[in-house]
Amino acid sequence: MSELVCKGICKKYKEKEVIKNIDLTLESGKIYGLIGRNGAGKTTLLSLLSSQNPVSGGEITYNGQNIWENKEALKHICFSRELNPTSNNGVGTLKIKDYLKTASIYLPGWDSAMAERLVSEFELDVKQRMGKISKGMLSMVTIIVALASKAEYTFLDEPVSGLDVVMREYFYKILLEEYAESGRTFLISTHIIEEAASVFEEVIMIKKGELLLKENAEELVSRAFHVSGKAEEVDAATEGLLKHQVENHGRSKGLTVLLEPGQQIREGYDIKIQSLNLQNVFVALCGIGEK
Amino acid sequence: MRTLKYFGVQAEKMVAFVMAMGILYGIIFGSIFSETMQERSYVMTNYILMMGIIVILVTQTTLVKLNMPLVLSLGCGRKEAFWGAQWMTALLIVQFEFICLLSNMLFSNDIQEYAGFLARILPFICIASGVLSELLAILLLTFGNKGTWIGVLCMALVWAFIGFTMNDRVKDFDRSLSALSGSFRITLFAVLLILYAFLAVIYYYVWKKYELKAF
Amino acid sequence: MNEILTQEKSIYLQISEMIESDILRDIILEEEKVPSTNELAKLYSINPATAAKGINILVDKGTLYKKRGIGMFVSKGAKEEIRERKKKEFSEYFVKKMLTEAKSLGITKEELIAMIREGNEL
Repeated sequence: MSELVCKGICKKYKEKEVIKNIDLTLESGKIYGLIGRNGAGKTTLLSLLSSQNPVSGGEITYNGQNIWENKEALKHICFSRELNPTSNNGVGTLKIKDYLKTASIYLPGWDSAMAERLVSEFELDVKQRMGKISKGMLSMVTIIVALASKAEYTFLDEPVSGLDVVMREYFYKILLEEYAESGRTFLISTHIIEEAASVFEEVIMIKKGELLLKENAEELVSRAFHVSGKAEEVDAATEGLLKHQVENHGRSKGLTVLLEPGQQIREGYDIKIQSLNLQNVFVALCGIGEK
Repeated sequence: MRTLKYFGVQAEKMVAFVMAMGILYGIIFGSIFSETMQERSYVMTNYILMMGIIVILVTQTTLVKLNMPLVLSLGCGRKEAFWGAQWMTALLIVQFEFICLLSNMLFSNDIQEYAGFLARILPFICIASGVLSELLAILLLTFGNKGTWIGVLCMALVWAFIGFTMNDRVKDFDRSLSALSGSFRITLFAVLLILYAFLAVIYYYVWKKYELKAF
Repeated sequence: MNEILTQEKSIYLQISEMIESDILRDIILEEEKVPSTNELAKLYSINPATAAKGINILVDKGTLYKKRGIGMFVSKGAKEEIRERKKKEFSEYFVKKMLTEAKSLGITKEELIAMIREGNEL
């Protein structure tokens, strides 16, 4: 069982701290969801984890070996970035097939049969230039690179942006198929949380450059509740618990609690308790007004 | 090794492109302005060399803008990418130097004498182009796009200056050039190589700090 | 097995309840094989680990047992056992809820019993 471990990593751009002291262990063989608001540091974290950019502090190891400029470790990692080429800058002039060819040269496990199959399933014209294709097609290219890389640790940054719902569901399907067959580790960052929630085994939540939590998705969701009713009743029932997204409407009150082990909502009060989904939990923890 | 293959292919693509353009030019313009086959070939070769020098000049900045971030994003290390870039530049310089030499050997002296100084300067300009290429890349990495434009502007000004002042005195310049001893030429060549190596070291340090962002 | 997953309950619970419901309705018979973890994951586009969790609940309850190398099978007597268990849960879940809701609406026990009598014949 291999491990990708971050110990106290941080990243500074000029004087701004973008990643603050993160400790994180990625065990192999799981599908992780990486969620966080825009600017929280998801892409930066992924670029550090794949040794594409250096950490400003701390260290990242693969099976104990530091990954920076470590060719051996890099053989097992693939970070398929979100592509935003314009027609003018460098990569935009590249044809899709040239991009895939370069990928096949640098990614040791490259499965060209799989890449070809996906190209035809996605109906991509590989002679087109990257700067001239739609956002959706760019996403398809990043998905092809990620899946065909056959890398042990594969990171995808917003792989479904630009894809319509039919393609998104297709992506989750082929991702799970690949996972079931190969047991590769996937770390996927996404803004479309609830759709992807059932695909994740664990969820990693980033807030303002810090690690908020890393937990089994189902367990996280099972300890989150929305409590509502008359304000006094709600307060009494949730006394001592950490409250999020508190809303007051006249005499009624609604709030979200995330229960720590051993905690519970007090019984006997006239309140409504509702279960939440992953997206609700994320908004509760990272929403506007949350510290 | 994959990097040798990748960057090598990029280099050969450029060479093939330059050769093709040179031959095309030679066929179109050569037949208008030159009379003998030899003259035409000479013009064609010179055009190939001119283009080659420009290609060498822009190689490093093109790599920094396109190929290096690309391979970096696919798991190539910074060190490996650096050597890939050097390998490509070296391949280009060596091949065009070779064409220089070939040109000197193949074409008869009366053609040479007319534009003889080209034959003497070109080998040095080739390598100097490599040096400047490195410099432009360093400017790009340190100051961003502004840096390159300033660098190019400076070079254009210097070139224009030389062009203006040298216009009448080409023959004098050429005479003084041919008068230079062989050992001086070798020293000059060596100096340029050392300069290249020196800039390569600086380039490596600046490149190591490069932050790969969205592209 | 052809239901859709909802967002109200944990997915692994929905999986196990779905299998239980299929056993009750004779859609899967005793000693028959249930879909594998990977088959369930593929069917519902969920993580195999989640599907496995749902199956494991039933294994812990004794509803399913594992035949090494082949898969998960419905235990003998599972149908009766599920029915008995669900009867107990009925009281805990449905009846309690009904009583709480009735209380907050001010419905008396007598009114409640009358409502049940008037309700459709079971």
